[in-house]
Amino acid sequence: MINREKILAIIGVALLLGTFSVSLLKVARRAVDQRDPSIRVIRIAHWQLEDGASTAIDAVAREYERLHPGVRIEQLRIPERVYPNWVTTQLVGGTAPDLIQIGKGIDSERSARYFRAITDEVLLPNPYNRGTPLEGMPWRDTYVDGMIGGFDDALQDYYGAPLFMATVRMYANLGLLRQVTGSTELPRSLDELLALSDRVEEHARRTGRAIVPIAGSKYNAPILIERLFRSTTQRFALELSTSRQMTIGPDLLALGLLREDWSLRSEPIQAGLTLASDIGRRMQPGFLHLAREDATFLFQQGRALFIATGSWDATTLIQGSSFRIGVFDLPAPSPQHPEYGRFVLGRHSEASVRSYGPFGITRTSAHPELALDFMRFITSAPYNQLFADKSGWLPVITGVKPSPAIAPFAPVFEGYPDGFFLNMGPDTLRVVENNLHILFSPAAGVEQFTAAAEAPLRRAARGDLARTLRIRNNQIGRADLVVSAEEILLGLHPDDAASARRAHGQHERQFTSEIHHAHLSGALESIR
Amino acid sequence: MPHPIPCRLAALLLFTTLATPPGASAREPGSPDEAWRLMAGLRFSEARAIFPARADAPDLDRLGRALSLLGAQPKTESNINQAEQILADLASGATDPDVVVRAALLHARIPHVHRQSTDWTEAARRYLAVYEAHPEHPLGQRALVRHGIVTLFRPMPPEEFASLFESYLAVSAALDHPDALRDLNWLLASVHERRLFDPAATLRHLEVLLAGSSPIREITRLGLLVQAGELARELGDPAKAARYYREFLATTIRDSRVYFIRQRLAEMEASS
Repeated sequence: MINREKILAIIGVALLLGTFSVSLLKVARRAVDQRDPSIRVIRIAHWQLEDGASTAIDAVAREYERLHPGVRIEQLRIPERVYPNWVTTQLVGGTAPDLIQIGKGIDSERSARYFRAITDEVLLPNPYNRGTPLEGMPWRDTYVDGMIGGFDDALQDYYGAPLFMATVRMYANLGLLRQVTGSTELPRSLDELLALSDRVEEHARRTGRAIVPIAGSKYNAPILIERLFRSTTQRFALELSTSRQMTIGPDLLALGLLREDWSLRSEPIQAGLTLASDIGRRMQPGFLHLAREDATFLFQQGRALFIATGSWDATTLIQGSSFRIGVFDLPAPSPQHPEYGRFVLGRHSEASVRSYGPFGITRTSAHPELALDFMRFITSAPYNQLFADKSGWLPVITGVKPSPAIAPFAPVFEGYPDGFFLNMGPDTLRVVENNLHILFSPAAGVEQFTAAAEAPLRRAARGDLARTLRIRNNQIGRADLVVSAEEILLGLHPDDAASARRAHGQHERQFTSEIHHAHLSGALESIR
Repeated sequence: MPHPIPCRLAALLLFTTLATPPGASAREPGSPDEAWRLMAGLRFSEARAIFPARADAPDLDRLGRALSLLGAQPKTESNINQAEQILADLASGATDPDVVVRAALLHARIPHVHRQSTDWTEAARRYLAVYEAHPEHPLGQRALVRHGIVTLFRPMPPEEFASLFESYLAVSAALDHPDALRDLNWLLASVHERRLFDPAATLRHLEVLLAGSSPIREITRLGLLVQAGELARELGDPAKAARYYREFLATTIRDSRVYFIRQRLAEMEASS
């Protein structure tokens, strides 16, 4: 008689052999396809492993294959954590797929070296828009953001066609909400959210259930905390922005801190910290040490009422949860708020939300024209609609309707410029992160955080500025070579409009960067 | 009877010569044209392999060689010194006048942006020398604007700055190339904004900058329009502010400032 151990061993060996055979078949199939001249294979790699994106790319790919016999589209889904290493190996080794999502691990230098610029192509109409309201329009202009997500500013050329766009919102477990409040009415203001969170805690105490108001992690918590903080610094940002461009960048913010234009004790900053503390204390204990998956798991298990994350998680959360989900805007105090209103302009605008993660055509692609054609196909009005319907992600093409589930994520244009957070570079971010636990500790709070972080933050701001200056100096030096080359090419080919555009653009970037660099250098020296 | 193979080769050579359009060879792989394209695409080492290292190479190729040495990784003092020497030689001895000025300008940029740390004084001296030697050339005028960048933000007592600024304004008044004028007004607006905290003077230079004929990228122009509108509003000139706000709103809808500016404009129109 066969005992239990033997059965398990047989099953194990069978599984191993099965897996090996499947792998062998896949590899063999690829080798056969590569030798088969009647099949042209386009391989497309990306890191969007969230539910929806891959399924949608597959759906559009099957449509493309149906309309283009002899073509096969293969998708390579690479985990985000290993993507930079994987992509480096593939590019350097000359084995890169035809289309690669540009971003993690791919900077401008790599784009220039390993990818084809598609500027000429984006200025031409997308043939797959024939018969739609976008017919005849340059491909670039069919994007809701003018395809800015595919433009490389350092190279002044388009290097890819983006497929994705995202906003962030709060997700609510409507089943749990009903259990706690007796209704599924979502909070409409910050105060309602805080009050509701208190009711969840009270409900947990009363029933003994292990539930928390908000699922937090080192990935999800900053989304919410920074949102609140940026709302209380909206008016302050206008005040600190000497450029009057309604925004203040990290360099000038750091300089302002060193010049004592502001400090952690400034009123709007204290307000932001108080709000951050209030919201952080409604997350599960130890959330700062937890990963994104932990928060998602907690929410999907029904042990947290809310979670803050992006539209990219919508399909994962909606399809992977056994309860109905409601979506609402991230909370922020309104200008009428009795305590925080005076620091706030109003709901932040999402008019600047851009498409991201463009797919670039690698120089080693055996079928660059086909790869380009597929990108045109998937970003045409009819097939981007298919992509949006299947993925549940926000569409990037004008006129394409988001799926009903994603409608609450549509960018809100009626809003105000954002304020700032305390992140002015890696050093300041580290100081903030290392001290955040004090802010959320029941035994400490805003005053203790301020006292602990005040001096280190100033030192870190100086460190961040010094690093920025070094990096900028290198970039300006490198730009010297590019600007000179573009200008010399323009001299050799005076009628080349693309050369003229790049030469002007490169010169302007370099020039404004030099002014900024000289100003920061001088100002930093004078603060010593 | 001639041998058929040499005949065919000669015919092929003749055909190739006739069929090749003039200048096409410049775009072939390994040509200087290709090397400049590689350099423009940040592929410095590949460009360096094409530009000859010979001292008797054409001026433009030697310029390319110097630039590719500046871009070579890892960055070494030896490469920078070598590039500096080539640029100095070209600035004093090249036959092409454009190469002379460009080499002189790049030579001035070495202490500014190519060394480990910036030598502001030496960069300023070299920039001024380039301008003085080539005051009519667009790149000579560019050098004077660069001279302003490396001097006008340095820490110094207010009276010393006032005197420096006055003499810079006097010298730079001679600039007349549209691109140099654009850059000069940009620089002066920045000095008034960041160092002198003078909104009226900042706006004055921004107005010249925005009205100029030299191109400004849309993304940059949008920021400048907001800045000019805000400054005009603060300075009590709502009509001027409204003009800049309207131009901003006519240029974009995808900017997080659109709604706020629309509101500002409506408030101004309601109160006028």
